[in-house]
Amino acid sequence: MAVKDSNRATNVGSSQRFAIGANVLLSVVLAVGLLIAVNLIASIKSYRSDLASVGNYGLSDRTKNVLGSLEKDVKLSLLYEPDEGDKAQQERIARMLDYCAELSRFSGKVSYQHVTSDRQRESLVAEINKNLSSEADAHKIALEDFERVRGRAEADLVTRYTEAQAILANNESWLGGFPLFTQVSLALDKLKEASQEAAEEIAELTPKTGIPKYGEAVTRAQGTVETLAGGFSQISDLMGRLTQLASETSKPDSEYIALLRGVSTDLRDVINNLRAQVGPAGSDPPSDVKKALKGYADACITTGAALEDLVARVDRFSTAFPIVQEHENWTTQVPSRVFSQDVMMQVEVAGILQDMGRSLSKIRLEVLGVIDSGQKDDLALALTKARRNVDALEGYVQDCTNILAGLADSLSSVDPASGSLLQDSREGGLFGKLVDDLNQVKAKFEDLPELKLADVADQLKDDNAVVIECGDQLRVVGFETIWPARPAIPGLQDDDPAETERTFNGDSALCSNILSITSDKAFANVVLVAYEPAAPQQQSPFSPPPARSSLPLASLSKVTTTLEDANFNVEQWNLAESKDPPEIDNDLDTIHIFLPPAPPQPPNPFNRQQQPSPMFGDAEREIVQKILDDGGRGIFLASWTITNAPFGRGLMASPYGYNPLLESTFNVRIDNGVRVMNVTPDPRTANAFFINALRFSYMPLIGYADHPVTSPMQGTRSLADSAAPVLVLDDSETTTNDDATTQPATSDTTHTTLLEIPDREEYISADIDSFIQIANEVNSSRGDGALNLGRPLQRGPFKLMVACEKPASDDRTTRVIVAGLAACFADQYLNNKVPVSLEQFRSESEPLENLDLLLNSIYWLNDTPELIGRGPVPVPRIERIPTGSRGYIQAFFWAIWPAVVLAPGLFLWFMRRR
Amino acid sequence: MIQVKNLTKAYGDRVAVNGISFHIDEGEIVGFLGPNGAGKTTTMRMITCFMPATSGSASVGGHDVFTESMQVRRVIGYLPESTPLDIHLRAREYLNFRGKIRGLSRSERAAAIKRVADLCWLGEFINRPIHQLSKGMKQRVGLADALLHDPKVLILDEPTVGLDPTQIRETRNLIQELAKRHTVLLSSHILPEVEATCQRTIIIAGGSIVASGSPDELKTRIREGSRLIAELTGDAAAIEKAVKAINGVKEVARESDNGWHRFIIETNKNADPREAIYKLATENKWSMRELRLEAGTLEEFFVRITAEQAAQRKAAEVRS
Amino acid sequence: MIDRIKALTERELAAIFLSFIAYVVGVLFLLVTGMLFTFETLTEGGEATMRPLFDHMSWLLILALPLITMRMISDEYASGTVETLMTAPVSDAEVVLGKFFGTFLFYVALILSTLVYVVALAMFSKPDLLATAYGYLGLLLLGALYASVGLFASSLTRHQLIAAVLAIAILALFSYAVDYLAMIQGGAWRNTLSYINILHHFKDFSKGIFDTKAIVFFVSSTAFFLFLCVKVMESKRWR
Repeated sequence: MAVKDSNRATNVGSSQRFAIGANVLLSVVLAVGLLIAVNLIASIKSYRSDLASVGNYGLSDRTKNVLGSLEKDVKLSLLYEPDEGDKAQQERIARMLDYCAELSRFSGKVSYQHVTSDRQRESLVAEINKNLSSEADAHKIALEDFERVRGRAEADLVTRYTEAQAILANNESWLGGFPLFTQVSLALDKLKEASQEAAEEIAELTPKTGIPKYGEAVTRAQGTVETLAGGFSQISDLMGRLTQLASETSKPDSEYIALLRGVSTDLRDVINNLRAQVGPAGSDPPSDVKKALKGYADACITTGAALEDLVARVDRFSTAFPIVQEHENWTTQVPSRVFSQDVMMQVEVAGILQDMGRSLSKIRLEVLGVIDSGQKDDLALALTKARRNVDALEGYVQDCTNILAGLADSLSSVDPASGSLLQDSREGGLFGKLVDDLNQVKAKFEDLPELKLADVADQLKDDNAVVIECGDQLRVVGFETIWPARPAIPGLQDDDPAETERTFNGDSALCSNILSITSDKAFANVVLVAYEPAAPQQQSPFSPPPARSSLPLASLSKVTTTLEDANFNVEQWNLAESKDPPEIDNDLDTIHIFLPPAPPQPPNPFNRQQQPSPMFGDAEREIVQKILDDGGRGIFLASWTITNAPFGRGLMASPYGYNPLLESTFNVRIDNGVRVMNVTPDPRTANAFFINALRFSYMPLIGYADHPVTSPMQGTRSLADSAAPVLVLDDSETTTNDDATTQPATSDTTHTTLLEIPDREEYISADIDSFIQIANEVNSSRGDGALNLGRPLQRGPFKLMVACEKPASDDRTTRVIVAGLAACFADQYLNNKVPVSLEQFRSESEPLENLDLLLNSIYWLNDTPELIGRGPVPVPRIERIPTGSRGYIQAFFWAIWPAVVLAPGLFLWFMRRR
Repeated sequence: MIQVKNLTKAYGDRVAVNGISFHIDEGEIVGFLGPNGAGKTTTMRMITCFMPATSGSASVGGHDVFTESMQVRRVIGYLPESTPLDIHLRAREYLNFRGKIRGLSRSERAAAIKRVADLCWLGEFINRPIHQLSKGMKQRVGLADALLHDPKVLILDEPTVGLDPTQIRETRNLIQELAKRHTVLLSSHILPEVEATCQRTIIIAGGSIVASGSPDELKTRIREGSRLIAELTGDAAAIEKAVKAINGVKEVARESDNGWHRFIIETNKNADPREAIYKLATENKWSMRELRLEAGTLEEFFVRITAEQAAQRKAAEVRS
Repeated sequence: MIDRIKALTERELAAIFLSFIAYVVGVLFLLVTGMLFTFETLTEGGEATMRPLFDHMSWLLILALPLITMRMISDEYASGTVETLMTAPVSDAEVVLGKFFGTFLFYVALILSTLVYVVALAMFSKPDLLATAYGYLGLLLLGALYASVGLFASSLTRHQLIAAVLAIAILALFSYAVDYLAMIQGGAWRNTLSYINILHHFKDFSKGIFDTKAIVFFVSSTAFFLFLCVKVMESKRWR
């Protein structure tokens, strides 16, 4: 019905329509504008805070403080490789990015980037390289110097080796006559190889691209310098001596050569003289045999004297030039009878002559004996014998003559090749210059400053590291630090999880690193106080090994590094060596860590005369007491220690030296003869339990108090070894069985329990006797490995860490923390991965969490608790779900509850049908 | 009560309502009559504020539908053609909801529901879910809803479409009852209805009003004469000739059936040849069994007028 | 006005609870979340938190709520009841608000029925109830926004299915598409894009972080879409 009458629907209507349409459009546009405006305002002036009491995703107060006081820009680079297949990795990346976004949001000075592409990684590496390089300039120069010297050395070695080989190829060479020279030649070759190897390795360590490891390169170079310098010195020395010999013997009128020849001639004369007395063999006997024999006997003396003289002359040579004894011709092989065996012995001329002399005196005595007896037959016999002896002696003389002649000939003629080498060896000219240069390089190496960025290269190789840059400072925070293992739930079989469950500790870790990277000076001094007397001189194989402290200074390198990284100045103080504290030239406060003193040496049952070894006693305690009374702050560490009692009396607890002091000052003691252990009770038998070998050394710690020191530990894995309980004594308690007297306990001390393992069936304590019993049971265990002491186990609660505070002079407070956890801080505990499964040989990361415990304690003792990192927030975890319940739960959620929800609908439907 | 001036509704090129004007006084029942697509529903929608006019104006009870839409809606009770209802609710619940919407208090609602339930003979069906009700019942519920707030004006769009004859009669009676107290505007394309119920009829076709007036007035405009029906036996041709010869007879049409012949006789204006025919029949001894004067019906008028309209339009199209 | 909105809300609630789709959606929602809960969250040694479940619910609701809201206005058009509605003395805004509150109350009931999970969690652990409560607040705001978008989509067409698809598309756009774009873009664009990302704001709630930005975002966006919905309804009159 289209009437073309549309001009009736005219201007009035359309303007109306237009007005309305425009109205609508305008209002929509305004609405959009309002929406954007409201949100813009909200994004500028917004308030953001982490509501959850878990506080997992936001920034901690400490971080906010640190960021608020930042002066320089901080840049974070996340080297987290995205992996599509690895869901856990994706989640970690998301979490890290979220957290860094929070940081950026809070402080404009913090920027971050996620390094994913290789290009980004390379540019980061280049940047670090720049920083590294400038720090390692000195190292680079030193290494360059080294390379120059090494190059020269190698060239020299090659030349000389070729020379030596040529000389040795010549049978007649002068130097060839010395087997020693062959050794020298070999040594030259070996040194050359060592030098080449070193050069290669150093080149690998300092590549043009990638991050050079100057530290390691320098170490390698230093080793090479030692090797080369040592080798060169020895060779130089040797050759020098040979040179001296050669220059003497090559003289045409060498007195020593003449000496040799003279000895040769004189020797013949001597023997001829002897022969003259008795005549040759087979010839007629002289008329007066007796007279002849007498003459013979006399001649023996003279001959003996003459021989001695000859020996002396030969010895003169060997004294003047001891090196000549190394000549191959200086000795000869001589058949001999040793222990009724016929052997060839290597004997030198002087030896032969001496032998001859000795036999001559024996012969003489024999002959004189016969002469005295005067029997005719005996005389004839004696004459024959004498003739035969002389024959033998003539034989020796011949040998000696040959040797001497040969020697003289060899020594006197120096072939040109040897001669030239010997010429060069004059006055240490062979390698002398090189040795000087090497020593210079060595000195340079020793003067090099320490490289702080040295292990950055290694850390960056690991995945999932975070690089923090601030100015020209750089820190790398590793994966384990940001994602430590999750704490175990006791009672829950957490064994053998497929992969370590981790928790997020980024807030604490990153903040700590930012804090230390942006702090200029140290926070405080930390003095490690030990008592370690030097090991006794007597080291007979029968004396028992020296007793050592359970936490000696030598095993605290990890702790020291951690403290230094956290900007503390660490010093050591061995009370056994010095009664005065170490010199510290800053005015910072000092926190002491009192390491367990070395126990007294057990007396040596085999050597009563041994001096009594120094012992930790009242004198040392007095020193510490003075520190404490003066408002001192410290941590007392001990752990469960047992040693062999003397005289084979089994095991005993070695007394903890500080207990008397702790009792009298703070009313506490560490019961270090008792060990707190984690066991698995056997549900089938009363009093029976299993010991998990892994948990024996790595006992999960639970029961951290809500205290600034220990709250951060609640969310992270914390493992301990050899934990000893801390006892808080009442005033009425009597004293210990220690060997020192104690004063009456004081009552103005406040105790705060920081770590107390609650009363749970998984944790027991064992004193010495119980422990021995357990050990015996383990060794003789029945089939299923269940142990039974026949009595109920000693259960908790066990305090492992207690803080004590008491007023000191001048409004100060003495504050200490007493902990039975010393073993947790030793290097050998901290450096080993924690084994998780014996069957699968799996292990997870090292138990470094307890270092945080130490750090937190020090911060608190230093009155700066606001610097304590929050630690990974303990997320609430689901405890055991009984298997029966699981079925019910599933049924409920999948059938019952939806049915309940559906029921009203069905009900309504029915009702409506009516 | 209802004033409509030059109301126009155009959808782009297509004009559905083309500048119509009329008025309805208080207490009148007016019928909108027209073929399908004439513009009745559109006009009603504009009056009830469901749709805006392209141009022109309308007012109800003195309130303009464009600027005082809320007041208009308050005084109107509207029953759309499709009687849309919330079919999942019970009738009572639906009415309750509608009552709340219209601002009736709880007691007012209870009384109103009772009233309209009686009025519309809902009976026990008031507690049935609407989807269980028949079409007729649904219609009544819709009507009940329209009456709930006792509106001054009732606008009913095709209130009897789809009903059976009994229901139609009932509804018609109801409307007449209502007319005593309300102003009613209803639309239909069923002429007898409009004829029967309305005081005044407005005939719409092609978007324009083509005629308006009471049914009698309209009927008189239909044709000059009237129509006679006579049934006789005898010689059909002779009868026809004789009838034709009567004064006032314009035309004769003849049908035969079984010996009887039916003659449809168109007369001239104001002519009434019944007596003449009777005389003729008795004269010729033709048996007669029916002799009836048919008044002009609205339907004729309607068909005529719409046909004229259509012709006019066609001519207009040809011309342009 | 309040009374009328109340009446419309009641009507909407009746419509929802008397329809079968609400129950289908509800039961499916509970089944899926139940399965996710028992397999993902309720594991021994696992973290006792509702957060992963909240994250799952946020995308499940993108599917669920549009299915509930799809018929709300579309049906009125299709069945013609829009005529009686809009010729009654209620304003378009009141109609929209009534429908919105009806949907929202249904949604609240749905969310409350998931509290059983929290109860189950609390039986075996000590979850952080404050963070959980805050997560639920976030869910409520999220649902309000989803409902308003669904309502808006429903007002645009008489076909329910198109309304559902449109609503899901809009929500997916502002959750995932924007997220993807933000990832590949960088710099200033990234900030803006992540700001208009619904799930980005919801994450704050599920993590337990109170941020006025997120609250303002949800409230203002919900209001915006409701406003658009009213405008569409009005413009239907002016067609």
